Amino acid sequence: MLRRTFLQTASAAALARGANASDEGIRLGFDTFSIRDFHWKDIQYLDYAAGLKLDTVQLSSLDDYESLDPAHLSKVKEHAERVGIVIDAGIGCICDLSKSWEPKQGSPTAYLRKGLGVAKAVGAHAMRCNMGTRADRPNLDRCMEATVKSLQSVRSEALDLGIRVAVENHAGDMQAREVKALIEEAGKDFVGSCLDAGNPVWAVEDPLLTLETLGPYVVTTHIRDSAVFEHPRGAATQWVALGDGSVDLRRFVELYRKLCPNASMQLEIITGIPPEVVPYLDRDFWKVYPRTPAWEFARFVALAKSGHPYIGPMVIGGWGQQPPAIAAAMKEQQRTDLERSLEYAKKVLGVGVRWKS
Amino acid sequence: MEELSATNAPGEGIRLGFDTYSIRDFHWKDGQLLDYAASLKLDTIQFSGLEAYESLEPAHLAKVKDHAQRLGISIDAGIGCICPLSSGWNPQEGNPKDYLLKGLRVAKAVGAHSMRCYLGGFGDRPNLERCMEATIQALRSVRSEALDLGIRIAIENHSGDMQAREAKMLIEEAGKDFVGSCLDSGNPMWVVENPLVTLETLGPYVVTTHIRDSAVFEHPRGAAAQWVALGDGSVDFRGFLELYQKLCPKASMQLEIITGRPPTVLAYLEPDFWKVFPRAQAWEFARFLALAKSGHPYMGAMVIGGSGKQPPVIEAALKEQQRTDLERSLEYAKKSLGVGVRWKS
Repeated sequence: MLRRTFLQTASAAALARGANASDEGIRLGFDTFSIRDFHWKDIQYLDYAAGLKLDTVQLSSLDDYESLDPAHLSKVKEHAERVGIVIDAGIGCICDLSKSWEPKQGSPTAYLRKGLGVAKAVGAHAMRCNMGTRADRPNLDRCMEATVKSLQSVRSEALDLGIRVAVENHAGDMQAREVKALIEEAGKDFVGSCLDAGNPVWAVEDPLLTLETLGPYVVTTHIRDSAVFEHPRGAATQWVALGDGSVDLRRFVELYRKLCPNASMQLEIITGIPPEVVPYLDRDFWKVYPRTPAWEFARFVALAKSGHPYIGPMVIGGWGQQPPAIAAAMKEQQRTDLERSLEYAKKVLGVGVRWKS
Repeated sequence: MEELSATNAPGEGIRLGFDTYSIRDFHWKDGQLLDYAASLKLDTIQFSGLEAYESLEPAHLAKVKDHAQRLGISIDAGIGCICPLSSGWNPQEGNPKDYLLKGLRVAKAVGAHSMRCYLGGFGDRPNLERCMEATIQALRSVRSEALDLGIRIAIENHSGDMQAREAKMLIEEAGKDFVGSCLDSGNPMWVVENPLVTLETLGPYVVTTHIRDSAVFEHPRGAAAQWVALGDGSVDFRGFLELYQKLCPKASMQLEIITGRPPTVLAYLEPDFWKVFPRAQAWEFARFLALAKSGHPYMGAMVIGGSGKQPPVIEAALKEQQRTDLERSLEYAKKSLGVGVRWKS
């Protein structure tokens, strides 16, 4: 091995260690969902992340791998070490009572075990997963119980493999207080939080409150900005690139440094979706939030009062199938919005380690 | 979309068409544009610039006229800026009189009875009085030709150049026997004017139109406005059409749909904003305030481009959107407002 190669590898290996010292700074990366329409696989994502001088990437789904064969996963691990990128792993819904559960996964325990095996094979120390979506809120208590049970069923494996299972506050399924209760019930020695900074606005929650509540449990993240503003029915929200929205990201990062400096900051940028009304002035809205404290809600109201709609350029399509010309534009936007968000995280918020060296 | 019966349709009997600017990125010319209008069962079209013609040769224009007659589409003609003091003036046109005469001859050749043109844009407001004087002079210089050819020159309230009261004054000063209004329902946003006020003021002078909707909403600096497809915005188009029926039922309703642009902030809470509106009336502005208070941002899908040249995929998406937004706006005009004649037969 040439001396230069050895040094590069050694430095990469140092970066790739699971935890970074807090004085090193917050590691910066992205969740692969940010650029989903490119349909890239593991090695491409790693090379792209390295090209952007990032520290980490979250392969948030098993679909992100070219193959789940141990030989291939071993190559992914080696490649990540070579290019100096730490991998956070991920799977999807682990609650068999959720509307999002995919029966083809067999059982939640089997699915979690499969994910943990993959995570270990690629050298990850965290594995993101989720309970459901806001459609599950009418049945929230039962879903939470089922999710706790699923998590507890793999406790010993997770501890043996040295992997924290990071439950995301996903698509409006839970408010931070509820996620915290779930983590503590399941066991905080092996379960933590994949803190999503965009999803709270679907659950009438200020993302700073989410961080305050879940900070001590955060293992990995999904970070994005949201434009939040008042609307005749309450408020409306739209996910936007970092720095384009209403969230006080400087304060967010300040708090992050205090509460979870070792958690990788994975940007999950989702633009191109129209604003969504959060109709908190309609009585029916509250049926699925029977225990939300008023003081928490007031924080969201303050955020909405301080914000305004995003008024910059954006290709706004939607979640479903789009006409080809719109789909092509949205794909291009995924990359440009991720890259300008990463620039904002680096240059304005000072996040990231490798790009500074 | 709420559909109406013919008996309660506020747009009953009003001819429906579109301004060719709505689908500008297709770079279609006269024949294609006429065929497209006919395929949508429209009554009329506005060729709002001379570039809409394949050629300005009399023989070609005669063919355009024949083709339009064959298809049953009436043409409203158009040219651009006619004020030599405006930043929008194109010196290649020689002088305003020549440009107006050229436009009038083309209009006559294709069988039009109106010709749209404009003074300038928002950037001309600091010099508005001089621009208005120069425009009046330009118009008067072609009075006899316009009257002889039987063509009304329709001044548009364009891109924030004039409020309705100012456009009305210009028309009256130039001569309302040959000058009228090309009423644009989207541009009043840039001059903090409620489009219903624009119609109330200019209605008796309206010859042709540019109709589109706008989402208007309050903003920390005042309000913000974004042009949207018909029915997607804050303008009360049922009320607009009821007034249109009373004031200018014979004017063709030409949709000029312009989407794909971000909202614009109208910073009326800042004193500097008012420097270019020294004579704006409070009662008129209050009507705009009420509109902004009642509205909210557009919450639907839209490809919103940035300023300047866009990446090719964004350009392609914006082009596609021009056609889809025009067509769904025409559907709204037909089915929800009852506008148009031919599609009903």
